[in-house]
Amino acid sequence: MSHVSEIDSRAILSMTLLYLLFLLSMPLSDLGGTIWFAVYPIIMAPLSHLKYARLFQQSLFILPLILLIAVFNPVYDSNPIFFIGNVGISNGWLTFFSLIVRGIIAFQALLILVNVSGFIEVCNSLRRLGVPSVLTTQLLMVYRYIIVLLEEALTMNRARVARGYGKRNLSIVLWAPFVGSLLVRSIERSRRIAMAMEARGFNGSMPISGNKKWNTDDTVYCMVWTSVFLILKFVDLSGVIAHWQG
Amino acid sequence: MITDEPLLSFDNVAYQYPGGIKALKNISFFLKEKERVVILGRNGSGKSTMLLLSAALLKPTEGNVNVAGVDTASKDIIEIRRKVGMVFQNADDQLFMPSVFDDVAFGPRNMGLSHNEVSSRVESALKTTGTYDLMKRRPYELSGGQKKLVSIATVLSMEPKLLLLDEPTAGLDYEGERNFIEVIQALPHAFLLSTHDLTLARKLCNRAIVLDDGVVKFDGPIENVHYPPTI
Repeated sequence: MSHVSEIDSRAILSMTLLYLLFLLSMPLSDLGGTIWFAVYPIIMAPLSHLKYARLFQQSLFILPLILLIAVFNPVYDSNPIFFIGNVGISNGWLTFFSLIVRGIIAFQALLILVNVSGFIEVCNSLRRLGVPSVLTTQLLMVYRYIIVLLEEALTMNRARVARGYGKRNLSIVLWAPFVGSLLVRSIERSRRIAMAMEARGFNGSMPISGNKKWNTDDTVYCMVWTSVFLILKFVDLSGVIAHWQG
Repeated sequence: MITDEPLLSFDNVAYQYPGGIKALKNISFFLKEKERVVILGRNGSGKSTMLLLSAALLKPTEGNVNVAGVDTASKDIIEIRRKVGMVFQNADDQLFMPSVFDDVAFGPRNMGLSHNEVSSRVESALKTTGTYDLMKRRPYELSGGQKKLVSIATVLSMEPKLLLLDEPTAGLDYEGERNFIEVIQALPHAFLLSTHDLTLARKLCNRAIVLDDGVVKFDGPIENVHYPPTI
C-alpha cells in the first residue's frame, strides 16, 4: 500500500480540487506556466504506485473532447504574436495547446484521485465535505448501474441482431423504440431498486462509511501541496530558471 | 425466547394497485416466530404483493398488516425495518452498492450503528452465507448464485426476525440452488417464501398458503398440498 493511500481521502480530494482550481485559472495564453502544473501528476503517480506512462496513456482518452473544444481557436485567432524562424505562431495556437495540456493533466489528477481513494471513497469524502447527499447518491448509483445499463443495451442489441437477417446496424427508424424500451426498462428497474433500498432503511440520505480521523499527516500533505500550487500559480518558474542560468 | 404473539399477521387485508387491479382480497393469516411458510400460486395470484405488504413497502387498501405488533401503516417504519428483511427476486435490484461490503453494510449503516458494529455484522453475515471471500468484489462481477447468497447477507446483517424471500431460486442453476438451500436451512429465522417450486417448498417449509386470484385457497401443512398447488 502506498503512503498516499494512508492519507485521508478528504485531504486528497481537497488538494485535487485546489489543483484544478489553480490550473484552470491560469491564463489560456500562459502555456509555459500551465506546463509546470504537470509536476503534480508526475510526482503523485509514483507516490500512488502508478506508472506515469500508463497514466498518460489513459489520460489521452479525453483528448478527442479537448480537441473538439480547442479546434477553432487557431482559426478565430490567427494573427501571429511571435515567430519561430519564418513560422508565425498565433495566440490561437498558444491557447489551443494550452487547452490540450491543461485538459490532459487535469484528467490525470482525477485519475490519480480515483485510483488512490476509490470512487466510493471519493463520494464519501464529498459527503463529509458537505456536498448534498442527493448528488453523491446519484454519482454512486451511476457508477454502480452504468455497467448494468450497458449490459441491458447489449442484450437488446443481441436479440435484434438474432432477428436481423444479416442487418448489422440499427436503422434510424428503430433507434426510437430501442432507446425508448431501454428507458422504460431503466425506469422499471430504478423503481425496484428504490424499493430494495427502502426495505433496508434508506431514507433519502446515503449513510456515510468509514471512521478515519484527520491527523497530522493529512495536514502536512495539504500544506505541502497548497504551497506548491501557490508557487506554480504566482511564480514565473521559467523566468527564475532562466535568471539562474543567466 | 419464542413468544405466542404472531411475528406477522394479516387481518382482512385487501390490496388494489393504482391501475385498478385487485391483487389481494380479504386475506387473513398469521405467522409465528421460527415458522417457515411458503406462498404458492400461479403468476399473478398475489404472492409478491403479499411479500411487499409484509415488508411495509406497500400499504393495504383494506385491513391491517402487523409486524411484531407494529402496524405497517403506522409511521414506525424504522422498527419494522429492524424486524423484517426482504430478499428480492432479482439480485441486481438488491445489490445496488459498488462493493459487496458496502451492500451488506448498507442496512446496518442506515440503522445508525457504529463503524465497528457495522463491520462485525457484515463479517458475520458474509460468513453465514459462505461469501466472506467476496467482500471486496463488485456485485456485477459475481455469478448468479453468488449474487443470491450476497443478497441474503445484505438482509442478515440487519438481524431481522423475519425473512421474506421472493422467488429466491429463480434463475439459479443446480449448484446455486443447492447452496441457497443449505444456507437457508441452517438459519434460525422465520421466513415467508414465495415460489412456484413445490419441491423447494417441501425442503424448506412446513406450512403452505395457496393463493389463487388474490384469495387464500389453502392454509395448512405442506404435506397436504398436491401438485398443481390448488385445492
